[in-house]
This record gives sequence, structure tokens and C-alpha cells, in this order.
Amino acid sequence: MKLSQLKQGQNARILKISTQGELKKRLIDLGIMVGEKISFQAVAPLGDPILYKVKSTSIAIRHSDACKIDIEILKESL
Amino acid sequence: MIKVAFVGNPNVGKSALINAIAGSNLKIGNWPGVTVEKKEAFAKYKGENFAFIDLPGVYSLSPYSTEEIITRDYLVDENPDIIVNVLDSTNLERNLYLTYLLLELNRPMIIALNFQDEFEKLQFSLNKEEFERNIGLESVWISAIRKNGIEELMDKILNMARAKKSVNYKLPYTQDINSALCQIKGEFAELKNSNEILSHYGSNFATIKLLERDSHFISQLKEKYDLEFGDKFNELRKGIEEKNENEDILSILAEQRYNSVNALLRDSFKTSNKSRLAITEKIDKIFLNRFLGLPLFFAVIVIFMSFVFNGSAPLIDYIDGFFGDFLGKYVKILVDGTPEWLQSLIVDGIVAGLGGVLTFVPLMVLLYFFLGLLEESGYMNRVAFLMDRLMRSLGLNGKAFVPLIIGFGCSVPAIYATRTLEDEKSKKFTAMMAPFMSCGARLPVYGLFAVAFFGSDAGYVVASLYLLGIVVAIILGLVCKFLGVYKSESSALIIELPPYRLPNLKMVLSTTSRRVGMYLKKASSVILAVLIILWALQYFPKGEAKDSYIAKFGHILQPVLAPTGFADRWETAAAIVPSIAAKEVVVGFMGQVLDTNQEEEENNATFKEDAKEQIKNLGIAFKDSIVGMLSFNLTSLFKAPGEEDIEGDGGIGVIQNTKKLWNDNLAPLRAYSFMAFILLVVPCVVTLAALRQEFGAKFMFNVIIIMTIIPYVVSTLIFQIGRLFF
Repeated sequence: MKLSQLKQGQNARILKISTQGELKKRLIDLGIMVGEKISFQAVAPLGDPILYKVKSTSIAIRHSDACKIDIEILKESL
Repeated sequence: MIKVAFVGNPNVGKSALINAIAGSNLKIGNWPGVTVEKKEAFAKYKGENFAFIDLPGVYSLSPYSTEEIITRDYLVDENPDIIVNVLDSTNLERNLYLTYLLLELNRPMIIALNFQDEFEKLQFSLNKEEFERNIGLESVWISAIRKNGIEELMDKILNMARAKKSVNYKLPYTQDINSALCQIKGEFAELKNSNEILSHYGSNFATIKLLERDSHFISQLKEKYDLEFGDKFNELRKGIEEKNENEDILSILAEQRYNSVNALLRDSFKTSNKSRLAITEKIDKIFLNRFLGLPLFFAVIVIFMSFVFNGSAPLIDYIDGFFGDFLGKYVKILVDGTPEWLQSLIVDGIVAGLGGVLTFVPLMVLLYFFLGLLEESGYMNRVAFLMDRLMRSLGLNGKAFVPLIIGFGCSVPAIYATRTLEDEKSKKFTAMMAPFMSCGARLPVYGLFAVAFFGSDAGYVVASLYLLGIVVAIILGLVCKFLGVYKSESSALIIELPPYRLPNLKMVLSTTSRRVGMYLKKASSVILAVLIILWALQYFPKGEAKDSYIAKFGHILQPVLAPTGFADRWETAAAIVPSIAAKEVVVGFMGQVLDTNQEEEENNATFKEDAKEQIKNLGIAFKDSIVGMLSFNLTSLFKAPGEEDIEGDGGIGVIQNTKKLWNDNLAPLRAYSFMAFILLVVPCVVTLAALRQEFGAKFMFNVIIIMTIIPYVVSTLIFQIGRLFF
């Protein structure tokens, strides 16, 4: 499942980041890494970007970039 | 002099901390070649002199963004005695990542655990001794707002600096990484210059960057030492990557750092059931709401614009009046008897020019103050979030929305407001588009010509001009996007929305006064010089605008501007020159060259009476300013002045005289073409000075060139295509 498909109230864990170079590095620098827990927080009124919560920080990512991140849904709460 | 560098994530309160230590003894400039602010502060403590450098907020030390490169290069090249790593103690999980990166530099370092007050409110707990033992660094609890811990921090810095002990920080990597690093170091040692390089960069940092294949480091090695390292350690790197499920080396190292952070926190930190984002999330539920978000944003914008423009307008008028009526009158008396031209130079050139520079001060003060509040509170990042989709289709950054909106009031604060954008290219791009947002100063010109040639339809004409400006800006933006000019460094948007915080008033006020001071210092002399030159061109040779050099220049321009349709009259061609002084000056200029009656009333009041009047007016201006701020009425920014005001500016009958400029059936089209030209032509000298101050002379000249070609093309198109219909 892609990060862009994550919905309100769902918690997930990052499985894979299918991007290279600068984008990947920036994601890593902000703590968005394989194995990290992530949850949906809000979406911009115009649909893009999307706000996620990672390592007790709110981070906004564009839809096109969120599509490059694979996740799996977790049952427990964050 | 002990040099202390402050490093940390964005929004951790570095600046507030330095401010708390050093007060306002600051030196501000730009890092060479970029528009990132370089802030240095100085202080004396227990007999020693200190220099504090406030490095840009960064999440890591990668070679990708300007801020990171600046931070990295400073720490390596400038060799600060002590590094103070400022952490948001309520978010150690993320902040400590940078700490582990900084440890690689192997320079004396102290941790400042900031926001102690918030940490305690959240009922988190930290075993400081365990924490320090695990990471190998000393730490100090700080609450910059309460000024707690400042002395303790300074004492630690002083002791560490005096001890001059060399450090050997533990790295957070696993065995295979460490042995790879040893191998690299070994191979490195065989090269010439290796000792020099290793001691300059630190052997840990150098070897890790080589393992990572860090582009900035590799290019530095090439440039400074003529060493090629591109592919040297590929084998080694691939070996490690294969052993780690084929993850890339950057992810592997990052993961190990995060693992160390987690281990550190597991041993020494206890969280609570309270969340640092609790209040922020509640507020964002409203501000980022799918339905309420945008309306609330527009409300914030209206309030902001009202505060800045309605608040400054009465004060601007006051300063205008003070210089024009009061100072002008008495200086005239002082210079009475000297040659005519000297009188005019002093009164119409210098005094008026000074007034022109100072009228911008109220605007700048209010702008920087309210912009500062928006930034410090954290709302600006929400603006980026809300506007990103819209702005990006135009090739702009979400935060660019605010400077562009400000541009509808005045281009000058709009240019300065581009500071809130993070990257270089976005700033320049936005600054280039800002002058196309038709500023308030052009309204009198529109008023004059629209009323003269369009009568009751004047309102629609003015509205269409605003639209024209926006459309041209969008087209220009799309062309640039297509050509790849000013393309943003990072095409990906990944930003943190920091927690909302109450703006630190003291910081905002100090930043405001600093920046207004810089405007006065840097821009004013240039502006004054240009205004005096323009005065001279309009005065000489005979003291009459009609025969002046500007008029002559107007005659010369006529054939060049012929396709635009308005240049069959030299007066309009010539008016372009004073429009570079200030747009509203065009009305006065038209008044002069069209021989309107500009008799001023005789003012027979005494000095005492006049002075009293000025003081009274100042009080009224302050009152009007506050009333205006709270009126939230923005029509004055978009509505052209009425006939009375125009005649007040240009003289009685100026509208009638303007009507006489053109008599054929294409007259309204010519007028429209002229107004479009004024809309799009080179912005006023204060805007140019702002562009030069922020982005350098080259950029300013680029804007001048663009804003000479575009008006020419657009006006020509308007006239030539329009005449086919009429």
C-alpha cells in the first residue's frame, strides 16, 4: 500500500522508499525511514500536500512523493 | 576571542538563545553569494570576548541545500572553538540525529537542551547523567525565554574553551562500518596532503563523507587539493550495501544513527502520555481544516494587509506632509536668496528626496513586525502548506503567496518579504514577479487617465489593469518555468510544520528594528542619489519641466515608442522617466508639463503655529493608523483616487488637460496602452534599491531589462491589436 493511500486514523509502518538521491536523503533527514511509524494527520484544502506525523513531528509531503513510499497498516495505536 | 557556533534544527530557538546571551550586539550580513542571513553576536563574559555565530537551522549536513552547506563549511573552515548544539528538548528523538552527525566533526561540543519549560509541562523526564555519559557530551538545560541556564552554559563554554582539550567522540556505527572507515583512512594516508586534509576536516568526517560519496566533499577535494575520489571506494561501499539487504549507504548510516538515538533515549529518557503537538494539532484542526482552512487563511491575509497598509498610510501621509509642507516651507526660507537652481535642488531635490526615503519607514516597520509575528508563531509554514498546490502550478513556492499579495500594496515590502522563502531561487523568482502586482502608487496615474478617457467606466478599467498585471506575471512565470530559470533547488516539498509557539515579542522587535536600520543604511543613499539625478533632469536647463532634459529625452523616445500608440505625445513618453522615481509622481509631472495651475496656498502661519500643527497632526496620524488597522477595509489598496484628489496632486484642470492629449477615436486605447506601460515598466527606485540590497546589482539589472521589454511588447500588442477593432 502506498503512503498516499493512508487515511485518517490509520497508523502504518514504512516498508520501502522507492526513490533515490536528494529526495530520499531529505526524507531520511526528517526521520522518514524504513521501519519508522507514520500516521495521517491532515490534507491541504486543495488536496495536496498531505500532512503526516512521524517521530512526534508533523511533516508535509506532496502526493506525488507519497506515492513512492510503501507502507503497511499497523493495528496498534501510535 | 572565543568563537562559538550555534547549530541545530530549525525552530529550536537558536536565535532567541543568542539574543538572551548577547543582547542586541549583533552584526548582520549575508553569507557570501547567497541571500541567507549571517548573524553574528558579540559579548564579554568573565573577562573574555566571545563571538557567537547563529548558523542556519538544518536537519542534517547533506550537500544538497544552501543552509546545510553553509553550516558544514563554516564548522570545518572557520574552526569555531566550541559548538553549541541547540536541541528542542521536547523532540529529542528527531533533534539528536543532527547531534550524531555533528559528533563526526570531532570538535568540542556542548548540548543546550532548550524549551525546558515546555519539557517540564509535558511531564517528560531525562536522566541527565545517564544521557551525558551515553552520548559523551556535557549538556545544559535552557529556557531562553526565562533566561534559565544561560550562565551555566557560558561557564561551560568558557571552561571548555580554556581547557583546549582535544576530543575523540564515539561514533554510532556498527563494526563493519567502522572497519570500512579504517580501511578508507588507511588508503587515504598514502596520498600526499592527506595529513593536511585529515586534520582540516577531521578524520572521522572525511572518511565518512568518502564512504557516503558526498558530492560536496568530493568536489572540494578536487578543487582544493586536486584529488579525484569519485569512484575510489565503490567496491567497499557496495560490499556493505550488499550485506545490508541492498539498502543504499546513506540509509544504512542514517539507520544506525537513529538506532543510537533510540538506544540513548531508551536508557535516559521517559516520555509521558502528553503530546508536544497536542495544542498545535487542535489549532491545526481548524486552520488546516479542509473547509475552514482557506477562508481562515484569507481572513488572516486581510487582517495582515489591513495592519500593514492601513496602519502605515496615515503615518506615510504625515511624513509626506512634514517634509513637503513644514520642512519645505522653512528650508525655502533658509535658502532664500541663493540661486534658483540651488533652491530647487535643496527643496525639491534633497528635502523632498529625504522625505521620499523616510516615508517608507512606517511601512517597513509594520511589515517586518507583523511578518515576524507570522513567522515566529509558526503560521507561515501553514501558509506554505495551504498554498503549495496553487503556487506550484505557477512554478512558485507556497510561501510566495504572502510577498505577492503584499505587492498589491507596495513592491518594496514585498521584495523584503521574500526573505521568508527558504531557498535562493524561489526568493529571486518571487521577487521578480512581485513588481507585476500593481502597487498602490500606480493608482493615481490610473485614476487620472481612466477618469479622463473612460469617465464612469474608470473602475472597470482599473480592475482590468490589475488583472493584466497578474496575467503577465503568470505568463512570465510559466516562461521561466519552461526555460528552467530560477528552478527551485529542491523539487520536492517536504517541510516540517513546527508547533505553534507564542511569538517572542522581544525577538520580533529587535529583528524589525535591525532590518529597518539596514534599509536606511543601505538603500537610502542610493535612492537619494537617484532622486536627485531625476530632479536635475527635470529641472535643467531652464527650470521648466517642458524644456527639461527629461522632455528632450521624451522627444527622443517618441519614435522608438511609436508602436505603443501613446508616444505620439512627447509628454507621455517623457513621463516614463519620473515614473522610475515613484509611480505617483507621474500625476504631478503631467500637471507640470500640461501647464495646469499649481498655485499653492500662501501659508502665513508662524513657526510656532506650524510646529504645533505638526505635532497635532502626528497625534492624529497615530490615531488614524490604529483606526485604519482595525477597519480591515482594503479598498484603498485597489480603488483609484477620486477627481478631487487627483486635482490636488496635479493641479486644477489636470484631468481636462490630460483629456486634450489625444483627440482621435483611438484616444481611450492610447490611454489604456499608456496605463499598461506604466503598470509593467521598471519599478520605482526604492523597489530597485530593495532588489539590489537583497539580490545584488546583477539581478536588479535583469529585472530592469525584463521590465523594459515586457511593457514595450504588451503596450504594442494592446494598441496594434486593439486598433483592428475600433
